[in-house]
Amino acid sequence: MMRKIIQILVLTVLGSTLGFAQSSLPAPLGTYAQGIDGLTLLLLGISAFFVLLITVLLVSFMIRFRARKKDGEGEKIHGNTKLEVLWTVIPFILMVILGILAWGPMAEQLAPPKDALVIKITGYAFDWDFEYFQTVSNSAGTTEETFDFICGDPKNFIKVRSLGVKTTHILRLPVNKPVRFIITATDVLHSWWIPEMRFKRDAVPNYFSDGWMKPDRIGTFIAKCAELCGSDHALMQARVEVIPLQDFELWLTSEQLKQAAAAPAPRS
Amino acid sequence: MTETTLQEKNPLLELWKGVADWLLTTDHKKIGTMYIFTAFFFFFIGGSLAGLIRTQLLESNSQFMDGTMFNGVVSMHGTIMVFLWVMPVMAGFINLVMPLQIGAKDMAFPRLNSLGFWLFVAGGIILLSTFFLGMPRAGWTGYVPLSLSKADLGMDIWILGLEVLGISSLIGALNFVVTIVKLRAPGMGYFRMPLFVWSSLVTGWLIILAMPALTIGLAAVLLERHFPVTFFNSLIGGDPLLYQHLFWFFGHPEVYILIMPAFGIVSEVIPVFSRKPIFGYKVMAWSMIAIAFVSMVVWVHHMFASGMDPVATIPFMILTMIVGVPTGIKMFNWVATLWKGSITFSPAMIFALGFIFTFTVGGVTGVMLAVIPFDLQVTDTYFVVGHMHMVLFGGSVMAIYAGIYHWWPIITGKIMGGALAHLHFWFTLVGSLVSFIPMHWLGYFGMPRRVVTYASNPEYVSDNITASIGGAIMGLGFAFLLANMLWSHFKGKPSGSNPWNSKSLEWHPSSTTPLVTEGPYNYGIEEKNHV
Repeated sequence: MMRKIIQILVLTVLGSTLGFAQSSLPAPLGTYAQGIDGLTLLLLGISAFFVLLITVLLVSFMIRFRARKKDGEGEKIHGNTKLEVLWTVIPFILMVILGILAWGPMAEQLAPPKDALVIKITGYAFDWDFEYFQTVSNSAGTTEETFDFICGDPKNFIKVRSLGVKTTHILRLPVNKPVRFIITATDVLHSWWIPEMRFKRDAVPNYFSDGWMKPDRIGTFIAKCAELCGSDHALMQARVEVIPLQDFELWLTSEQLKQAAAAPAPRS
Repeated sequence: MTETTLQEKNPLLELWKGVADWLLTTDHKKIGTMYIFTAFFFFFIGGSLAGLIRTQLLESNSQFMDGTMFNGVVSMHGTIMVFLWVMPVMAGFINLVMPLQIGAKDMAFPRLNSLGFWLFVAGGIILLSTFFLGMPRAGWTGYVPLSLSKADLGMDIWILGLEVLGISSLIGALNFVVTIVKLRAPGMGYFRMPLFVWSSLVTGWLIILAMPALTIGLAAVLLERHFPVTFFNSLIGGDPLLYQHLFWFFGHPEVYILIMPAFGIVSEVIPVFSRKPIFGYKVMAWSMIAIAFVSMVVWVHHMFASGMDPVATIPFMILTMIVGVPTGIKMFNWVATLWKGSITFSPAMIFALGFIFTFTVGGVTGVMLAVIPFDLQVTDTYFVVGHMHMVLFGGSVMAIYAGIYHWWPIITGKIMGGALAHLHFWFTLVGSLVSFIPMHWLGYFGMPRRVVTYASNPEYVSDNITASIGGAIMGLGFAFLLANMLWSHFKGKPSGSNPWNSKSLEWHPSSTTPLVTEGPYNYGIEEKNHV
């Protein structure tokens, strides 16, 4: 009877935790974010299981072995090697599994698509600047030589050229196209975070951190600064607009013309 | 009659003698007591700052504080709770109990011990002076380049205060280690030491190994603030990540410095009130050593999003997960200690049992945070705030409460009341869950930490109100503890020398050095004779 009650209790708590978690997460943006949500639910499930396990054992032992007479003594049990090995080995195996599971999304972030639209994101107190780049060649070795900078590690780099478009505070992205973020800062530390993207990287002066995503739906999102950067840290946000590809290309072309006219000096 | 009245005529002189006795003391029990009460005073201040933060966050766009003020309050709350509350209160317990538990007359260096305490007081006063001179605003972590800002005058005072506290901790730690290594009673081999002594030894070593990294890091910040030298400014050849490495090389062992004595306290309380030996004594000791070793090499898990090479972070993920294994062993062994025990729910015991639950809740999210892709979503958010409070409040502070009830008779010779203690416990338990659990959700949903406003997401308000209510409940719980202390002073039962019928040496004071012939926790009766 007691066992049945505990079983039902455990299943209910576990189920409702996961159900609540899944239903209340803000909708993910892109397949990478969906993968992270899956990982989160798994981690949450394992965590809830262990919390419940400890709680059930704790409470049932508290009830079962409460002192029944004054000055009662317990049994002289010093330990049990088999049991202790058991609860060393099982968590260890679980950790190994978690480590392997973590590798999937990490590998995904480490290998951005070579044809991605590249955005250089510069954080400063208290706003964000964006500059749009296109990939002109990569380590596979095309011959294009005019480029503005190289991103990625020596074995896996791309050369990019500016598209001549810079914006402040508002970032426009085409839907269903891979976008690579190169994140940096000019003054103090900031951290670039679109919560729906389930990914965050610090913006550090003179460092260029990497991350990429493929937004899979149209919408407006808030990018936040997640690293304390001063009095208006909480207000340091950017507007991320994911728009249809056609609209994006139209906007990009018109911006190129507008910004070229405003700044006639050619880039060297 | 006349002679004594002549001698005691001057009440001021008598008062001064009483005060001077405390001020100049080198007695470990008195120093320990002063540590504990001073730390409780700072806890009250740090808690009040938490109250200000929770008041600010009751509304999505509150005008109660501005960003500058808020950052100051947040920085001071963290600094006080870590350096002026948990660390010194643990030092207090170690001072009070550890020499007794190993049968030593005092610490190895009583005068140094006194110096360590007064440096702690000095560091505390320096830090509190920032309330009047300008609070530091770069968080308790003091990340560069923000902390290099000359406009932030409080940073200089903050650094000075932490350097003084660092020396205080080092003095204390050296004293703990030397005392345990050299002054154990005859017959007390390392594996006959109570687990609280083990935890003191491990804590001492961790402080000695980790604290210098902070001392150096802060000294470098101070130099770069005022002299033309560059350690951290990346625009002229420095590296801001260097500071993070130094800080967390100290900072991660630091969280184990905060929790290790808590492990010790819980390991003392549970066997006494289960009337059983601790389950797997040797494994409990070894797991503390293992945790301490691994804790020295996991610091980069605070920097997964920092911009360093992602591949270099992977070993730190694996090592961080490994910490979960010995910690898990401890949890299971504590629970197994209850098996076939004879459990009484004394005030110390309910807090120790509560610790097992709340620390598990906080611990599992620690394992979650080790998983890098998950961490990249929740680092620097309220998820981390929730996790960290769950382990620091639900872990360390729960155990500190257990310790204060357990060892109160050694300090005062009185016993605190059970009813008030139960109220204190339930308010603390419920308050911590109500306050810290919603923070986890908020973080995953998108609320960064250290934000003065969340005007762009007014939907966060209900979880924030819940968290604030939880904070108020915890505060009320603390009031019950204070009431209990006062009550015990005026109305409490005298405890006698061994109120809990414990077998540890701290309850068996004797004028001669004891001879130790068996391991600790020799409670219980052999199964055959068990009725």
